[in-house]
Amino acid sequence: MSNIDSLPLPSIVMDRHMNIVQSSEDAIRLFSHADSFLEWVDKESIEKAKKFLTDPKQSKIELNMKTAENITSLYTLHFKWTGEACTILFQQQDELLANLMKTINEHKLRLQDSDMELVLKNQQLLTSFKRIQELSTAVIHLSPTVILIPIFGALDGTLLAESKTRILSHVSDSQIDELIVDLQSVSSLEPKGINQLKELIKNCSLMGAKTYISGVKPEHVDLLNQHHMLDHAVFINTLKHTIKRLV
Amino acid sequence: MMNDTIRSFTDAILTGDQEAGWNVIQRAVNQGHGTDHIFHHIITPSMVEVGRLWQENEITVADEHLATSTCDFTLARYKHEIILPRIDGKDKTKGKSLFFCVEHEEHDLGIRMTAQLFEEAGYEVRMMGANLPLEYASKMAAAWQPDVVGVSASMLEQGKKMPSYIEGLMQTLDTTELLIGGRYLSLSTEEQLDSITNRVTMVRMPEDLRNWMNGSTIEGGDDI
Repeated sequence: MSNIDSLPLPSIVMDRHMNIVQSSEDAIRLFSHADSFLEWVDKESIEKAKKFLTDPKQSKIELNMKTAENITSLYTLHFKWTGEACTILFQQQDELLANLMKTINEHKLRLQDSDMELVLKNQQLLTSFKRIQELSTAVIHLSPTVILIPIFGALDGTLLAESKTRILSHVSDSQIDELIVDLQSVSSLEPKGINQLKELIKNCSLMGAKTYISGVKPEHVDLLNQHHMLDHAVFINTLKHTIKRLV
Repeated sequence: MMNDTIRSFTDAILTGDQEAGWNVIQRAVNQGHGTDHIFHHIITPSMVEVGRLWQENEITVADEHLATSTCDFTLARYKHEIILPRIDGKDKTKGKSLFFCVEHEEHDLGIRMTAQLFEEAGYEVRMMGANLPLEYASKMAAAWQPDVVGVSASMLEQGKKMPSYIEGLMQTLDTTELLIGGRYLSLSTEEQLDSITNRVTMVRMPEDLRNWMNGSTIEGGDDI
């Protein structure tokens, strides 16, 4: 029998019953002393070892092995049967591959983390946005039956759509007679926003509340006129004057 | 049981062909199959087949890694193209759910699929992924107070940690339900799970998960 200690990798010779006949110093250091080869094999790899390692037509197999330090790691076993003896060389899974997999896993984790962070940030933003919309259409009581709704920012399709229900239930709950919608702080007007405003005025009117609109900017006059806003609400020039009259 | 769909998906992921893999899934969606069917009857059996091919010495671990990452990609795409549009604009009213794998367990495909099923069913979902030590899991659970926690282990070695996770989480959480699953359950011969109470469900088969989800559905019976 040749001296297996001269081989460049940990190696053993085993018999047909998978008993270890001879081990190199390296193999003993790596896996510790054992009678049967199967003692070194991870529980979940034993069936695979039994099936393929005893087949003389095979020459290579991957198995999870338990080292002397009780670490389970993947080895590629190169083996060859000569008569009743099988020589096995153990090659640990290519470290390069293991390192690459580690890096890929780290990348994956980072992507998942940023995904999670984005989701959480998105939720925070949505909450803030909702709050801003509520504040942009705050309801201010001028008297028990008169309310002022100063609108801030862009009057687009979403602003009143989000606040409509809140405003209407307020009009209903507090039995409001008159409401003043102040457009002085509206930065931009969109047709969809004007339609929403019309809807709001109609709904208030159905509940017996009359709507006044104040603070129209010169640049918004054309668009309001195109939407026949005069048919829906009373326009007033100064808020101060009207408040004095209503309250 | 290998049908043509499973074979096509297995071939696609083993060659790292993301498009071919996605086409198989898209076809199943177009045929009207639900997420439950796609996860349990296409993706899971394909990954089981990949594992079998390694056991049969036909592929290497490198091939397995390629298949896993292609599968990962498919799941991410499924979430964005199929699940998110389906739940868009709907309120997450079913409750809060937290999912992760036990410490040192890197096999997270199963728990990711479970998390997606919960997301589609209307739960708020936090997916903590692979390898979460009990200490972090408890901290997260205590702070967020989920209604249900799903814990997974695949390898027998990692499955041994499950009783301590069950015990730890039951102590931390007063009313939360636990779902325990993963491949290790089908391998463990001994019942080491003495700490089981009626708040813990062992998910051995896809039906177990389906039954639990249907049972906890207040309105009842929506097919996921």
